[in-house]
Amino acid sequence: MADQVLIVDDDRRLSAMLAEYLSGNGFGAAAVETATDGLAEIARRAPDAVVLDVMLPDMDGFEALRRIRQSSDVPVLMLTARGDETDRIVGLEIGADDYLPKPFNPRELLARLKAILRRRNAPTAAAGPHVLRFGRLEIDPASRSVRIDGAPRPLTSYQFDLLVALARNAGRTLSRDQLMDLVKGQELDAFDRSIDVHVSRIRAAIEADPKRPRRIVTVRGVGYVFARFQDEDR
Amino acid sequence: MRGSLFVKIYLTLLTSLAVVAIASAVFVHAVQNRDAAGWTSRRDAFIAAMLPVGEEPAVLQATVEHLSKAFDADITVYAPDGAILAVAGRPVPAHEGAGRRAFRDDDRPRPFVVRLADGRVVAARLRLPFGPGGGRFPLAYLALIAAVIGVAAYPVVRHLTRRLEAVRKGMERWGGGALETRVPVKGGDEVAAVAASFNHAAERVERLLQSHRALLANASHELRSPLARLRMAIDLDKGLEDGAAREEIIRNLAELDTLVEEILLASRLDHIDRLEQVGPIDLLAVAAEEGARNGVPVSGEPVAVEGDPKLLTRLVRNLMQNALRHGAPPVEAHVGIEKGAAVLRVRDHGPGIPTGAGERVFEPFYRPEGRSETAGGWGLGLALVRQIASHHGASVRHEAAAGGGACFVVTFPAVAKT
Repeated sequence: MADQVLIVDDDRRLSAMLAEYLSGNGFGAAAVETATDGLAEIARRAPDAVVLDVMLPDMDGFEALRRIRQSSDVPVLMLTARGDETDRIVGLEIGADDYLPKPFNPRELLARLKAILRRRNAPTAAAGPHVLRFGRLEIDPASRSVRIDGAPRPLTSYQFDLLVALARNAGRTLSRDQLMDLVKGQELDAFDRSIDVHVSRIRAAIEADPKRPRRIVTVRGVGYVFARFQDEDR
Repeated sequence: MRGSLFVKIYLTLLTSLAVVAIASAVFVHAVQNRDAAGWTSRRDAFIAAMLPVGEEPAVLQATVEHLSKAFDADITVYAPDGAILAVAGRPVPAHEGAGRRAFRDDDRPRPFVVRLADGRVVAARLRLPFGPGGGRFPLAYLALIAAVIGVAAYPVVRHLTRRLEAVRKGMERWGGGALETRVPVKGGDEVAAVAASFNHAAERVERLLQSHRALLANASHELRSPLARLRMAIDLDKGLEDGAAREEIIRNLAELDTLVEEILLASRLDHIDRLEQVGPIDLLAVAAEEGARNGVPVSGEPVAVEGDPKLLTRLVRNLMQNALRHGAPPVEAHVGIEKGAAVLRVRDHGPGIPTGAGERVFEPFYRPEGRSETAGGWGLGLALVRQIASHHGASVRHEAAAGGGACFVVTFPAVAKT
C-alpha cells in the first residue's frame, strides 16, 4: 500500500496541489488546515509521514510538532519560511525529521519525504543523538556508517575517521597537519597528498557533484573546511 | 555630570539663604545702632537732669541710691578730679570705652560712663539691657534659621532630583532597546507630567514598531504563499516541459523569494541592537563555503571574528553575488589579517564602481546613473552587507582594484589568529 502523507497547511490551494503532486508520485495524501485537525487526524489514521507548515492559524508549527511528539513518532517534514526568525535548525532540535523552506521545489520535497520514510523503515538507522546530521547527510559514529537520504555510502575506515574529524569541526578551516593529528592512531601512509586523495574519495561518496564539492571545500594553500550549511539549489 | 541638577538646585537654595541672612544682618545692624544711639543720649540727659550741679553729697548719695534701685544698677559718681562722690551698689570703674562692650553677646552687666557738664563722671553698670531690642545680636538667629532650612531642604531637593534621575534611567533603558520599559509616575507635579508624557510616547512607539514588525512578517508570509503555489504549479503543469522558459520562471521566482527574504532581514536588522547568536567564526571557512557555492576561489589564512554565522554567510554571499552580477569574472575572495584586523576582500574584473557613486552603492535599490530600467538596480544586497557589517562592529568600503574592477573590503575589529 502506498505511504500515506498528511499535509497540515492553512494554504488550501497549495495543499491541494501538493496532494495532487504526491498522489501522482505514488503517495496517498490528505490535507487539513489547522494543527488541531492535524493532531486529530494523526491520532485517528496514523499517517506514514506528516508535512507540517510552520505558520498555522491556531498554533505555532513548532508547538504543533511538540504535541505530535507527545504521542507519536511519525516522520515530520516541516515547511518553514526562509529567512524567518524561527531558525530551521530549531525544527530539527525539537524532533522534526527534516525541513524545507517555502517556496520549495516539489521534487526536492518528494526526495526528502522518500528519504525520511526510508530512514524510518530502515532498522539499522536508529537515529541516536550521537548521529551527525547535515541536511541529507547522516554520519553515525556508533555504527561507523554514512548515509545520504538514508542510503548507505561505503567508506574505508580511515576515510570515515577523516570525515568525522571534518564534520565535528564543521565551519572551521583545518590544515592537512591538523587533520592528520585528528585522525591519529590510524598511522597510514601519512604523506601530505594522501589526505587529498582520501578527501576526493569521500567527496565521490557524499557530494552531489564531486567535481564541484559543496560539503568538503578546499581552501587553497590552507586545507579543508566542512561546510555547516549547504542550501539546496532550487 | 550626574546629579548636577541636584547640586545646582541645592546650591541656589543655600546661596539665596545666605543672601537673605546677610541682607537682614546689615539692615538689623543699621536700625539697631540708630535706636541704640537715640536711647543712649536720652539716658545720658536723664542722668544729668537727676544729678544737678552743686548738690549736697548726702542728697547726691540718696539720688544715686534711688536711681540704682529704680534701674537695678551699680552706680558710681566721680568728681572731675577722679575722687568718688557717691556710690550705690558695687563700685564701677570710670574707664571710658567700657561702653563699647554693650553689644557683646553675653549675660554680664554692661558698664557705661556718662560725663556730666560740670566735669563729674557717672559710671554705671546695668544688670539688664537699657532700651528695647538691645539684647542679643539677631545674626545668630538668622544663621540658625538658615542652617535649619538648609538641612531640611536637602532631602526635599534630593527627592525631586532622584525622581528625575529615575525618569532618565527609564528613558535610557527604553532607548537601549527595552521597549517595554515605562517610568514610574508619582504625584502630580512637572516630573510626574514628564514621566507620563514619556510613557505615552513610549507606548505609541512600541505599538508602531510592533505593528511594523507584524506587518513585515505577515507580508513576507503572504507574499510567499503565492510564490510557493506558483513553484508547485510549475511542476504540476505537464505542458510546461523542462526547458529555457521553465528555468526562467523558476529563476524569477527564486529572485522574488530572495527579495522578500532580504526585505525581511533588513527590517529585522533595523530593529535589533545586539546580535543574539554570536560566537567565534572562522571567516575563511565561511568564505570558502560560500565560494564553493558561487564558484568563487577563496584564499587567505584562517581568522576568527565574533559574529553570527548566518549573517556572516549572508554578507559573504551578497558580496560574491554582487560581484558576479554587476562586475565581471573572475571573482576572487581573500581573507587575511591587516594591521591586526580581520579583512575580507571580494574583487571582480568588471568595469568597477561608477566614479562618484561613493557610499551610494550601499543604499537600498541603488541604481547607477544612466543604467536602464531593465538592467535593474542593485537591490538590497550591498545595503544588507553594510547593515550586517555594522552589527559586527565592522566597516565596509570599496576601492578600485589594480588592473580594473571593483574590490569590496570588509574590516572587522581586531582579532586573534586561529
